[in-house]
This record gives sequence, C-alpha cells and structure tokens, in this order.
Amino acid sequence: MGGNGSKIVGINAGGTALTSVAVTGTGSVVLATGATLVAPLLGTPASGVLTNCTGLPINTGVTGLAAGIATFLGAPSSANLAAAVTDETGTGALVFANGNIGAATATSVNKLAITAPATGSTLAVADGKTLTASNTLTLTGVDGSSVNVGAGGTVAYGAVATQADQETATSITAYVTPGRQQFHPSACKVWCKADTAGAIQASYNMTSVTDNGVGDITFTINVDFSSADWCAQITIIGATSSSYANVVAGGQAAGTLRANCRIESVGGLSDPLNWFFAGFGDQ
Amino acid sequence: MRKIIYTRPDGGLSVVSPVINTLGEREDFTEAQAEQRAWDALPSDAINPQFVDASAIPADRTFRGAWTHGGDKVAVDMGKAREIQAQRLADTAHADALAAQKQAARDAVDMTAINAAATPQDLIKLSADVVAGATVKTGA
Repeated sequence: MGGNGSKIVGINAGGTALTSVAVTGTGSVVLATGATLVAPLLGTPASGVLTNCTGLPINTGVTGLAAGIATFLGAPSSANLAAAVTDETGTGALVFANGNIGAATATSVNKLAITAPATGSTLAVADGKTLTASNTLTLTGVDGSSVNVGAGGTVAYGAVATQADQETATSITAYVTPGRQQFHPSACKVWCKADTAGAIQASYNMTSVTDNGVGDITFTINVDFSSADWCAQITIIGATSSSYANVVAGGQAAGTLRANCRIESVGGLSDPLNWFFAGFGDQ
Repeated sequence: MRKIIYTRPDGGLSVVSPVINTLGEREDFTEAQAEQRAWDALPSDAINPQFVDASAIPADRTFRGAWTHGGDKVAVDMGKAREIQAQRLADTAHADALAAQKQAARDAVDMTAINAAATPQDLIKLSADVVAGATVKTGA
C-alpha cells in the first residue's frame, strides 16, 4: 500500500484487488474508531451526535435564535433580558421572590388603583395582619381625612338608623344620618318665621303660608304629621304690647295649623309684625 | 314667586305664599316646583283658586277684611270697606268718649280722704263713694 500525495493505494471493497483512492489533508490515515482529527473541515455532516463536544461559541455557533437572545445568553443582564423579550411591561431590574421591588410606578394592581405620590405615601400592612375592604373603603380628596384607631381599639357600628329606630329612640348602636335624624321624638319637625302678610323669612319643612285676613294665618306643612295630635308652638312679635297669638279651635290638622293674633285689650284680630311657628310630634 | 288666591266658603279671601324652605330643601328645588307643591296642598273647599303675580297683592292691609277675588288680582269690596271704616271710626269715637269719661271721673275724686290716708290699709278701706265726692268712709 502506498501513495503519491494525491492518491493512496488500497484494497477494493470486495478485498480482492488493489486500487487507488483520492486523498485530502495531511498526516495519518484515519480509521473508523478512535481516530483523532486535527483541524478537520467537516463541511455539512448529514448527521451527528455532539454529546461530548465543547467550545461552541453561542454568538456565532448557533443559528435560529430570536433577536437579543444570543446577547442575553452571552451577557445575562436584566436589560438584555428585557431587550430579548417582546411583550414585557415595566422597566428596571428583574425581581425575584423576597426581593425589593424598589420604587414602583405601577398605577394599578389587580384593579387596585395606587396613585403615584408626589412626595411620599405609605400603605403598610404589618406581618400577619389583614387589610380587607369587602365593599367600599373611601378616603378621597380632603386633606385631614383619616381613620385612626388606637392600640387595641376597634371601629364597629351597626346599621344606619331607620325611621322606626329613630321613633323608638332606644338604640345605642345604630347611627343617625341627616336624612332621618328629624324622626326622633325630640326633634322639631317643622318651623318658620313669617311676616304680616305671610312671606317667609326662614323655614324648614313648610309648603306655604296662607294669609286668611287680618291676624289670621294658616301654616301648611310639607311632610305632614301622622295625625292631628302633635304639639304646635305659635308666638308673635305683636303690633302692640298686648298682642297675643292662639291656635284657632279646630284649626289643627296633620298637615296644617291655623292661628290668630289678637289684641288682648279689645279682643279683635290684629296683624302681628312676625309670626313664629314650630311643631313637634310623629311623622 | 307667584301667589295663589282663592275664596273660602265663608266668603273671605285667602292669599297663599308658596315656600322654598331656607333649610332642608333640595338644592335643585325650583320656584315652579314650590308653586306646584303649594297648589297641591290647597284645601279641598278652596273656591276658584288662581295663581297671581305677587305684585297683584296690595301692600296696604287697611281694608284686608274687604279683599275679594278679582280674577288675576285682588279687588276691594267697597261695601265691606265702608263697613270696616265705619266700625273703625266708631271704635275710635267710643275710645275717645271712654277716655273722656274716665278723665271726668278722675277729676271728680275728692282727694281729701285719700290724702288723709296714712297707710296702704287706709287707702284700701276707702270706698267708691269718694269718686262722687260723697261722705268718705274709712271703715271700722
């Protein structure tokens, strides 16, 4: 067996005759098992298993990677990861569990709105504690709004007082709202100040004032009493020192009160300078 | 805001002033709503109720008792006005006469016994005969 640099002599496949074979490269002849190649140019192998190969350069040795992936694999920084990912949100460094998220700029987390503070604000829940708002917890827009509960304290309240609660007037847990406080037995249900001709200067729960004649007036209430049995207060600033006011007999109904002003010395009707009227009872 | 006038069954005229309460009223409550509320609360026996301009109500109440329904204004029943004025003059004349009578009676009091009284009890014991200048009785 021998060669001249471009061919070698070998035995043909059937092992029956010598033949010459073209060669490439230099050095020793390579056999199938255990051979060591030095700087071979493999071309494009049809297949192969690279289990024990090393030194593959990631930037140039791997194809099919998306933009930025090779860069991230070569330099795995948060910025390079963000550049490689196509649908990220937010900026800054990658955060892991138990990490510090730093200065968050998110304005909502699962529908919980957090407005970025101009200077500094704190929402803190201590370890093992719970902050729960099943319905609505609102502190909006007014400086000084606060809910402060001292150590060991609680905030507990019952339902809004109903009209019946107010009229019963015994609950010490229900709280009163402005729209129902007037139902309490001690509350004034209607009042007004009117002039001679019935023009009102100030009033609450009135519908109208009727001038029936000299010293004769009818007060008409907006939300009536539940019956004609309620306590009426009527007084005047009289035109004379002996003027006085009285409720006209039969002049009280659930929604009206008729009153007269008279001069004591003569008993006749007389216009006062002002009428004052108030009523207490059940509505 | 307009007013409502109507005639009562007794013949008198009532003037209704609708109210927008100064406290406890809804902020958007209007004059029109106040007028309607007053209208709805009129007594069932109101006769010929009608809205009138506030200027249709006389400011002078001298003959308030003679006011009557004048359609879109308040009119004055002159017959009633005359009666009112006649009664007013009679009352004044009666008061003047009563005052003169009282002064005459006061002038007729003989002050001798009154001046002689030394104690409040002495004054109490004096009888009305003193007014006529009769014999003064000083009691027991």
